[in-house]
Amino acid sequence: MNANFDRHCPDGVWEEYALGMLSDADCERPEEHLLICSTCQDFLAKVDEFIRVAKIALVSREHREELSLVTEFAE
Amino acid sequence: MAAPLPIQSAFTNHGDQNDQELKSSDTLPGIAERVESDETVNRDAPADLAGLVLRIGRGEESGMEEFYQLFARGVRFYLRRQLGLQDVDDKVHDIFLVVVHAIQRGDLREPERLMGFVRTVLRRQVAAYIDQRVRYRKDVMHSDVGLRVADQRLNPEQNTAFEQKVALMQETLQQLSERDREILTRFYLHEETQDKICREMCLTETQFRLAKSRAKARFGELGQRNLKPKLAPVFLRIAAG
Repeated sequence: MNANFDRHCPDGVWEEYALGMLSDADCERPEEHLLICSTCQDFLAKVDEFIRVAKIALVSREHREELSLVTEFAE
Repeated sequence: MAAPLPIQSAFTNHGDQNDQELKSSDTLPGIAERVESDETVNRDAPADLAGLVLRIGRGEESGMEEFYQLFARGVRFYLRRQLGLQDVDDKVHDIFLVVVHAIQRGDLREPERLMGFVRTVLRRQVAAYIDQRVRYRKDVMHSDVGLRVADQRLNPEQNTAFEQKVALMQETLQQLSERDREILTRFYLHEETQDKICREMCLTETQFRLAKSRAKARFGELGQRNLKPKLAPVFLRIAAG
């Protein structure tokens, strides 16, 4: 038995991995697991997708808020 | 009413073989967290890694075939994700050969570390490729060709799907509380760590996780409403926390 690929990593780990928040050492277990686990590959693809969409939606929301502040100030 | 999203994912780089392999991922508008329990066990885990290494070391064809089947999907996934390339088959093959030769030379002293060894080879290949690409771009820029690097990952249909998903996310954000939105902004956009966010917003770990879960669940619900005919019930699986 090998702990690196017998058990899935927690969902939160994949989010941190996708966001590049894990150190090289912390990436070891998830990456080794990822190589052998199709379930986690699928899940990580979904996490990547969610993060990309969220980033764009959040950025555009921030820009809209900034714009409305500028407009208010100008008025 | 928004048009249904195409089945093809707008974000993932799975082409060819992986398009078929990753069908379930391609239809998802968001991510519902996985339910604990029976889903924590990796069903793809090899039963006898040491035996496999032994067979590869002896040059047994069946061992090499098994090894290739075991790793090809994962290696392909990793390379596509890291490099943003569709066609990585040559690189998968190169990595396979490097690892097989290393095993046959006796370089892999601990067979149970096979995964770690493959990962090391993979990371080196990725680093070398990126280095090569950076140097190429510098050369091209110096020669003043004015190269425009196109993002070839998304076709027009995928772009439409992408925009629809962003719109869904914007609707989701609109429906969340200001506090939940701040948590998502800090985590996903500014990439602040969970510890920092919890400390500065006086949140417990559970509150932090719940805020993210709520956003994912809402995103999934909105996606399902728009994608109703194409979605499977699995999309609404929401984690207990």
